[in-house]
Amino acid sequence: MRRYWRLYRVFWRNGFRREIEFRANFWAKVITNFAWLFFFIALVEVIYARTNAIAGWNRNDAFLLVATCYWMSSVASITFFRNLGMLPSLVRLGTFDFVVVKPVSSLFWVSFRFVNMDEIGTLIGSFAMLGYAVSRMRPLPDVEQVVEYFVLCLSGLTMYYSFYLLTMTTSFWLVRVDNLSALIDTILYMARFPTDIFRGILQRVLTFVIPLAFIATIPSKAMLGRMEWWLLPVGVGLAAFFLACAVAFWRFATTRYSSASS
Amino acid sequence: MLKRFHLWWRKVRAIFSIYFQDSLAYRGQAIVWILTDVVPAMVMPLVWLSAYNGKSAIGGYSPGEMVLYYLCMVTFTNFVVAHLMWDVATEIKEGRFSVYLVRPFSYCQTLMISNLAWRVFRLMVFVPMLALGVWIYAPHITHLRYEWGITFWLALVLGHVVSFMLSYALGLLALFFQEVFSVYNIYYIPMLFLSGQLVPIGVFPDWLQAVSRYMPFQYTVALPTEVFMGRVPDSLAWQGIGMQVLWTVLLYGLSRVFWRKGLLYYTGVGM
Repeated sequence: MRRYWRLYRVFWRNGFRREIEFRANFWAKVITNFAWLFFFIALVEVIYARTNAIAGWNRNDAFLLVATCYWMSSVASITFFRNLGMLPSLVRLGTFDFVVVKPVSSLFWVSFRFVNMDEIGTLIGSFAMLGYAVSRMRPLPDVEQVVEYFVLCLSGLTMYYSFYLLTMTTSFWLVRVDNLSALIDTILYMARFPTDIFRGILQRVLTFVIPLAFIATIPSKAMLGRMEWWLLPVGVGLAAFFLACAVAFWRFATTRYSSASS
Repeated sequence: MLKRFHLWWRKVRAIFSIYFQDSLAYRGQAIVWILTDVVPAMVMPLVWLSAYNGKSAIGGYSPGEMVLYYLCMVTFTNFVVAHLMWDVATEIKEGRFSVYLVRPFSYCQTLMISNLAWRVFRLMVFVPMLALGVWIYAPHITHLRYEWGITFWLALVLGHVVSFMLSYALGLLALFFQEVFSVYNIYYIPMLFLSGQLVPIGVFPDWLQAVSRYMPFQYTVALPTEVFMGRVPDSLAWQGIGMQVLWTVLLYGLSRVFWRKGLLYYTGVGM
């Protein structure tokens, strides 16, 4: 475990060095990502200029929701999103060979090798937004609500990682799944809206089958003190379940890997 | 004259069929790209439906019209909105662009035809998704007055031409600058907002609607959608079509300048 921690610190240093090598490019990416954060703030403003609640969420609640979704997806981009996105080409070109022979867990390597620094600005921006939204809450959330929020966010991130890993692992068979990451991005786009807008079966599907609700809606509700208490253990349980499935599927897939070039 | 036209037409057909087959070959990826447009557009009506809270209209749209707006808009987007600057820029960056320079056929026309082939393919794949959307939203669709006339077809075709010219000119920027992808990334922000792909233009505050009238974006997909729904009186529709023609001419001129000046910078990487 300590070895992995040390390795991960090296990955961070390495990522940072790569970014300062192409500084102009780095700033361009940071500014672009920041602009997209404003894009979504503007969308919220446009919608709330015409109404004061969407499915019971007022403007401030919506900011909390968007900030939550944004910081979670920034964390995902910084850590695993880009890395797992490269898996299909690793498999297709046979360069996955080099991963397999490294003396570390190949799953760890494939998930976390490159630290993607250009989302750092978005992360800071969305935390600022989160702070703004929370400071305007009346009454302010108590410690319990904040803890629940972060626990649920962590489970949400775990589910996100597991789902993405499950999808990307299919590349061992399907080979050409390069833009599936664009699809995952699109699905995540839906998470920026409260899942309360969906009715009936669809809402249940988005909570328990494709756990989109756990990405932002349910943690935000925990912060707002509007969540049913049983969703907390369910969230943690689902996260553990999906992670176990994803890792098992990964193990199964890698035993089937038969290189591409050699 | 006729013989030359005949020859040209044969080339057009050949290019069309090549790129249509190309789209077929990459159908899996194609479906994903289509979904990235369709999913957000199909979710937005739900957002709005939960926002009315008993109000009868938002930005001049009743709930039913709002649902219909998104269904029509996303249908037309398949044909109208071009994203080809990414491909143009990649071809220029990697030097594959050189191939087109020596071919006896204009690059701009090749792009137009190949893009059209992709559009036709997209529409075919989109039909079942539209059927699903209509089925889901059927209880909300009450509006029944559509405008099928000449203004709609003109607005639709010219909307595509404006969008094509815009992305073509942006693509040619890659002749001058190495790093254009961040520019494109930022371009999408005003484009998505002001083209009516995110929310109908009528929902914006007045000042933004005024700004939007002087931008090319709303003349791509918002105009044909609103004309089709019968929301635009004839005189205003013709005015919009006039703006489309104006933007087409302007952007075509701009792309000619980019082409002529840009080729002087082009180094043909990899030759």
